[in-house]
Amino acid sequence: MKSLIITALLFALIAAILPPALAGDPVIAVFITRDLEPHREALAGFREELRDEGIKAVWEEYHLQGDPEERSESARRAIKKEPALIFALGTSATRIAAQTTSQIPIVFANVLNPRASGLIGDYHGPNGNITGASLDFNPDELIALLDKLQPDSRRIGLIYRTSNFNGLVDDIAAALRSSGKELLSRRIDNLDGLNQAAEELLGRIDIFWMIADHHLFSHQTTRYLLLETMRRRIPFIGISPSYVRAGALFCLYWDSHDIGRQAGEAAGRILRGDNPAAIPISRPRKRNIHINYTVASNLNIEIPDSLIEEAAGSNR
Amino acid sequence: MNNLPRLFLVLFLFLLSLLIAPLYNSALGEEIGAEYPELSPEELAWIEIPEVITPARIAQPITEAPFSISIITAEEIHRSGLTNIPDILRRLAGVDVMALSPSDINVGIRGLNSTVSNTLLVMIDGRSVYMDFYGTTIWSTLPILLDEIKRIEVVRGPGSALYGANAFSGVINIITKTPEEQKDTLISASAGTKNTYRGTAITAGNIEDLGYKLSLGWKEEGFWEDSNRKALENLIANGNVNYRIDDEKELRFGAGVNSGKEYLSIEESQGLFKLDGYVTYFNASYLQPNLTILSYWNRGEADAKSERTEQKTNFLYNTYHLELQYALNNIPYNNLILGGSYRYNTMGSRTLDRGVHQNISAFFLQDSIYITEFLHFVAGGRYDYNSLIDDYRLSPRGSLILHPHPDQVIRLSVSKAYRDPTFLDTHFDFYGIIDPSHPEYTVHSLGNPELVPEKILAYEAGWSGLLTSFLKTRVDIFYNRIEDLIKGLIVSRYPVYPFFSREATFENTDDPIRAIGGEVGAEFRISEWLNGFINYSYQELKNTRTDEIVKSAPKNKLNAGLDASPWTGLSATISTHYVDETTWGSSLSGDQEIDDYILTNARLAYAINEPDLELAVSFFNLFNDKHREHPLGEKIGQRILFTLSCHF
Repeated sequence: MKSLIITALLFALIAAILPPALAGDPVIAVFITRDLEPHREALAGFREELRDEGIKAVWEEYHLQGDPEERSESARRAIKKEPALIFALGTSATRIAAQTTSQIPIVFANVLNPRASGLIGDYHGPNGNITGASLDFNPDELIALLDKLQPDSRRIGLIYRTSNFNGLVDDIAAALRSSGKELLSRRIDNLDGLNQAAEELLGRIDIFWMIADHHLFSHQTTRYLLLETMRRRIPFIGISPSYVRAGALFCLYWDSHDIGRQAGEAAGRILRGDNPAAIPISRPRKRNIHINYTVASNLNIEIPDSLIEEAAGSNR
Repeated sequence: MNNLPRLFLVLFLFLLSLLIAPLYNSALGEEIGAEYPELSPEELAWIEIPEVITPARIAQPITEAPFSISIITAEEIHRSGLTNIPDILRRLAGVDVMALSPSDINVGIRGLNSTVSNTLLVMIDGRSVYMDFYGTTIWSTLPILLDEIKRIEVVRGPGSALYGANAFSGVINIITKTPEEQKDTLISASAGTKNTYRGTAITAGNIEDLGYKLSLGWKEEGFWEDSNRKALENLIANGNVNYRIDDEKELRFGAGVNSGKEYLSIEESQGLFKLDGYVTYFNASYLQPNLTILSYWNRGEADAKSERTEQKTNFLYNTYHLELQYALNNIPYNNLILGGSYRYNTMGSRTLDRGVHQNISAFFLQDSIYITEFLHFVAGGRYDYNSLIDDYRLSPRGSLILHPHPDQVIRLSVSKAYRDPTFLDTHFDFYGIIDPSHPEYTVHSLGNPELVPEKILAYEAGWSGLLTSFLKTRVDIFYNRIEDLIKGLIVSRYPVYPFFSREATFENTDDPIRAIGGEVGAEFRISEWLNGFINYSYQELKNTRTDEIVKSAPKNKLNAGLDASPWTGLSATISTHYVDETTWGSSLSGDQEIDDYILTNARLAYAINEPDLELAVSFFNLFNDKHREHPLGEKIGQRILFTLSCHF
C-alpha cells in the first residue's frame, strides 16, 4: 500500500512538471530561415497575441538553414511531429512550409508581396492551408499620402524586372487610375536595359514608385535610380527607412511586432477551429511614415504639418 | 621568398575550395546582375543601403566615394575572432600591419609604416584618437571594445583636404553602434594561451528619446615569447548618451577611459618602453541633417620607463577640439559642404625642452558637382594654420567619378597633403643612454624648430564593379611623391670606445620618395553559406635621387579568406595573409632583414538562440608559422582563444 501511494505521488509530481504538450497544449512549429531582428519582433508579437487570447502552446523553433535539400529535410522532420500549426517567418520559410505540407495550417508573418512570390492566389480568400499577415500596404494608402505631398502629380513611374510582379503592378495601376493618376511602368529583362528604361521613363513621370523587386534593386542600381531621380527632381518612394536614409523622399513602414500579433490573431482562429482558407491575408494595420526632410527641402516639397506629426509620432 | 612553396599551397587550397564549393550549390550562377537574388522581397527592405561618412565627411553611398575605400562590418569583426583592430585590418589590400608585441601593433597605408607609425589619421566617430604630440596611434590604448564597433572605414591615400594634418597616408574612421543599434546586453569572456584573458560587458537601451550605452572591458595578455610577463593590461570603460530632440536633431555625449599598462618598441637602443597610464576623452556633438557640431577633449597621461636603460620619462597631453560642418545641398546638381575647426594642444613631458602648446585653426570646403548621369566631379581643399610652425598649408584635392554602368565606377583623383612637425619633432630634449653598462655615453636628442611639414602629392585611379551577382571586384593604382619626410638623424659623433656619445636631431630628408603600386581584389559569394575575399597589393617606394628602394615597405602582399555557415548555428572563418620580406634599419644593429611570412587565422563558433549563447574558438597563426614582423618585435607563434558570449 505504501509503495502504491509513493508511486501515485511520483506520477502526480511528474504530471505536474510534464511539458504542457503532454497535457494537450497544441504544438506550434516556428519556421525561420534567417535570424533577423524583424522576425524576432514578429515572433514576440505572435506569442504575445496567443498568450493574451489565453492559448497555451508548445513552441518548437526550426532554423531552416543550409542548402535547399537540407532546409526541406529539416521541414519534413518538423512535419513528422504533426504540429497543430506552422508559424512561418518570411517568404522563404513560408515557401518551404507550403512545399512540405498541404495539410497542416500555415500562418505566415513578415512576408512582402506573397502573391508575387506565388504563396497565395488572393488576399481575400487564400487557397489551401495558408494564411497570415503580409507586409503589403494597400496601394490606396500610399496614393492618399502622395496626394498630400504632391497633389498635382499625375504620372507615376515604376521599373521592375520579375514577371511575378505583373499582378502587383496591375493592382497599383488600377488604384492609381481610380485616383485619376496614371502608371507608367517598364519591365526590363536584364540590368543592361536599366539605363534605357530609366531614360525613357524619368522624363515623363512626376514620381518614382519602388517595388521590392530583389532582382532589380542592388546597392548600385538603387544608387543609380536615387541619383537619377534626384537630378531630375522626381520624388522617389522607398520601401523601407534604409532607402529613405539613402535618398528616397518617404516610405510607409510596418511594425513587425504588430504584424506578429496580426498573425497571432489568425493562428488563434485556426486553433479554435476556423479553416485557414477562410481567413483573409491581413495588411499592416499600424503604419510608420518615414520622411527624408533634406530631400523634401531639395525638391521644394512642403510637408504638411499633419504628416510631420504623424511621422514624428510613429518614429519615436 | 622562403615561404613561396607554402604560399602556393595556401593559394592552391583556396582556389580548390572555390572550384569545389559550387558543386554543392546548384544555385550558383542562376542569377547574373542582381546583387541579392537569394533575398526575399521583405529582406530587400531590411538591408541597409551602405553609406560612407569618411571620404566626404557626409554620409554617401560607397560608390560615390571619391577615394579608394574599404569597409569592415561589425559582422566581419565578430566572425574574424581577432582581438584587436590592427589584426582585423590585415585583410584589406594596401594596408600594412606590423605587430611587435601584444600591445605594440603599427598600421600604415601603401608602404608608410614604421615603429610608432604616425602618418595615419585614426578616428572614433569623427574624434581623432592619435596622440597629437607625435601623431602616433597606440592601438591598445584606444578606449573602445570590438563589440561596440558598427563598421570601420579605411580610406587609402591622403585625406588632408578634409581632415587636415595626419591624414597623410590614409584615414581610418571607426564608427560605433548607437544605443539603438547596440540595443541589448552582451556579456562575453575569453581565455586563451599566452595568459590571455578578456571580458566585455555592454548594455544599451532607450528611455523614450534618451538612448544610453555603457560598456566595460578588461584585457590582458602575456608577451608572446615569455607569456609569464604581462605585455598588456587594460581596463576600458565608456558611456554614451544620445538625446533625440526631434526627428532630425540629436545631441550626443560620450566619455570613456582606457587605463593600464603596455609596452612599446620605439628605438633599439632604448629597448622596450613600459607605459603606465591612461587615455580619456569627453565628447559632445549636435547633429541635424545639414549641420554637425562636434567637440571633444582628449587627455592622456603616462609614466614611461625604458626596460633596457631604466631611464624614466613621462607625458601629459590635452587636446581640445571644436568643429562645425554645414552641408548646402539645395543647389541643383551640387552637394557642397563647408566647415571649420579649432584645435588646442598642450603637452608636458620630461623629454621636452619646456611645456608646449599649439593652436590649429582650419577651414575646409568640398563640392560634388553632378555633371551628367555618368559623371560627377569632387573638388575641395582645406586651409590649416598651425601656431607651432607659424605657417599655413593648403591641401587641395579633386576627383573625377564616372559611372559607365550602374554597377561600375571609375575614379581618377589627385590630392596634396601635409603632415605637420609635432611637439616631439620640434621640442624633444632627451639624453638617451646607449649601453646601460656605460651610462656616461649618451645620445642627446634635440627637437628641431626649423622643420617643415612632410608633403605628399598623390595620383590615383581606380575601378570597382559588380561583375556578376556573386563577384565584386576592384582595382586601384597609385603614384605618390613624398617630400620632406622627418627623420631622426645623428648629427655629430665623438669617438669614445666602445660607443659614441652623440647628438641627434630631426631633419627633413632631402631626397623625395616615389611610391608606385596598386591593389586588386575581389569579394565573392560562392553559395548562400560561403563567402570569400582575395586581394593582392604591390608597392614600391624609391628614393628618387639615389634610385634605391625603400626596403621597409613589403613589395607584395596577398590576403584571402573564407567565411562559412554550413549548418544552423555553426560558423567558420579562415583568413590567410602573405607579406613579402622587408629590411629595417636600426641604431645599433644596422640593417636587418625580416623574412616573408604567411599568417593564417581561423575561428570556429557554435551559437544557439534560446538563450542567445555563442561558444567560439579562435586560432591566431593557425599553422604556427613562427615569424617576426619587425627586428625589434617578438617572434609570433600560434595562439588559441576560447570565447563564450551571451546576449540578452
